[in-house]
Amino acid sequence: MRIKLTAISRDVSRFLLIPIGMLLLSLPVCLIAREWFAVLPFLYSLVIASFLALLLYILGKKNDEISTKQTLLSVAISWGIIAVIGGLPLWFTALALGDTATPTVSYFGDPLNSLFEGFSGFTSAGLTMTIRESELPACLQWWRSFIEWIGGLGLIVFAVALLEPFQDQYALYQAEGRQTRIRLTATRTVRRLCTIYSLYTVASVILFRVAGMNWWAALNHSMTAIATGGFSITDNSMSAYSVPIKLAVVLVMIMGAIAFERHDRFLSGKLSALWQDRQHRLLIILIVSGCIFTAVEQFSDSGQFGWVNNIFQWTSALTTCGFSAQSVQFMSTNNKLLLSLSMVIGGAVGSTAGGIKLARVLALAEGILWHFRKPGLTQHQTYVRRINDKVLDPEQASRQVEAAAVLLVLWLLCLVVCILVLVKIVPNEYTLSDVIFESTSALGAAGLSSGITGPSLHWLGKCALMLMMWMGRLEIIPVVMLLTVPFSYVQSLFDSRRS
Amino acid sequence: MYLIVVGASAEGRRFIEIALEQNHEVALIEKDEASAREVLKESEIRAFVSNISDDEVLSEAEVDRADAVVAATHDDAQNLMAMVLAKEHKVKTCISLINQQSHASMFEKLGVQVISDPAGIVARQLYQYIDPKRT
Repeated sequence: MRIKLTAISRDVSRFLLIPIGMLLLSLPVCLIAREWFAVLPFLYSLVIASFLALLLYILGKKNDEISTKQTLLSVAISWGIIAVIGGLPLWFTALALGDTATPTVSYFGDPLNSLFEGFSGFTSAGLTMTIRESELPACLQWWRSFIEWIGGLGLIVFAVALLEPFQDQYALYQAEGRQTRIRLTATRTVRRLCTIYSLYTVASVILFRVAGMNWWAALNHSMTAIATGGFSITDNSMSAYSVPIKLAVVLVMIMGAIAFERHDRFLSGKLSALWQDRQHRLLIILIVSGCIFTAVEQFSDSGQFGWVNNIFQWTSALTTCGFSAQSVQFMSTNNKLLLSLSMVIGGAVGSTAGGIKLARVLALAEGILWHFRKPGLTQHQTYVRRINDKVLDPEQASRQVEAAAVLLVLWLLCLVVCILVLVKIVPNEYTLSDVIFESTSALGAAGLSSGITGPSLHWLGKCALMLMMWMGRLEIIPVVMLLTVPFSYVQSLFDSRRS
Repeated sequence: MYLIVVGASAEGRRFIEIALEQNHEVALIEKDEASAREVLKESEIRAFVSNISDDEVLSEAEVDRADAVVAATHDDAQNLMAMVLAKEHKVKTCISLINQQSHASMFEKLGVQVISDPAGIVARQLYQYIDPKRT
């Protein structure tokens, strides 16, 4: 299948309408906050984004024959470009403020730091280059929360509009010839999910306010919590907040890690929808058992229980949200590794959470059990396999398990590469467990940090983490496709010359 | 009890459902893989895909410990074969559907219990609603 650059270009130009709209919506925030110095940076970003969109639109050509591969490529490219645009306002603001900027803001004068923040935001990861969040101007605090919120929403739309139409979503990567087109606003389901997402955000604003945050913090944190993003506007994330607030945040983080199609059913009256299927039962089991495990581990390590913080940290990692209630650096090695494991697992498919996702874990578990059961079957016996409440023919089931296994292998491979890179360049004060923690956090789009991520990190480390966030968010395969396009293009040139 | 059902016909499937409700263990022998899987999707039983004439399949289904074999295909030849084999394995209770009444005597010679002409039974029942005097 030949890839048509013109079609991709047109697709990307349509995706760019998203950051353009966001920048337009953010301009009033600068005005309301009376941060005049930020108006021009936002305007510049707006102009650049619009110009780019227009350019790509003109270069592009409408194309009716769109293969799945092409759509995935468009999504991967768009997500990357949008992330770059997400970094622009930060960079321009830092440049505009120049010498008058606080140290926190002036770090964003380095374009790589701004870019990192953009990637972390749009992948709703939450690793940050910000040293003191409270010192950021209000418009930048808003911008960081907003890009995470949209990033989280984008992920649900990506899952529902692109992956769901295939029901057997794993067939997606196998059927090259099939046609898909993302209808960003067209389908009713997508619109409904967007409404639910907004509704939950508003509900959590109110919840946080009632629990004791001020309005501005409640707004920002509810946006990043439901997106399981993890940017905050307070120094040291959630550490300073009281117990009721922490518990409220835990609740919203869990909501964000539940498939939004389940929320849909829940809101239309089926209260049991949230724990009826296996994926979500597994989520509940993991949350409860993980809290107990980490608490016991902490007790054996330091001799004291910190229930609330434990529950908070564990949920934050498993839902790949990334708020933190205590410093990760001083956790025991075992707890760091446990949290790393949970960040590999992640939340439910169709939620805003990252990781390889619970449905894949279930598929893998079934695959393992299956290999033990298989030798017990007799010659004529036929069978069906059950994965996540779906009864599947053996071939179908094998395909799902295979897809999950491939993703897991790719995931671990990326982790190993990232760990090898980071080990080489981080200062000696960080142990291997810190490096593992940071890598899984980036790849799972979690955003908990052991302290490695920061403006002082080597540029190579920043790039590696950025790549991990981008790959992890799109479940690796689209990005790998994109990165290998040049190779396959060159190869096709050779092939055509030979023939 | 352990019951072996031969044939995933409508009657066979319904029988499996009822047997499972009563907490019996059930195995199914069916020659069409797709229909066997259909049954598996609804109920957790063991299913074997094979023609009944393949003697191995009954041994695979552990016919020796079966309390009953129920033949429920829509093909009397198949049913008869199932009954003969079940008798050979000395299964206590052998029950069969008979689709064509004229075949009944063959089954009776074997000494199995039969429900002959299931379609006829339903039809007569239907007719009874119209004319209650006639049975």
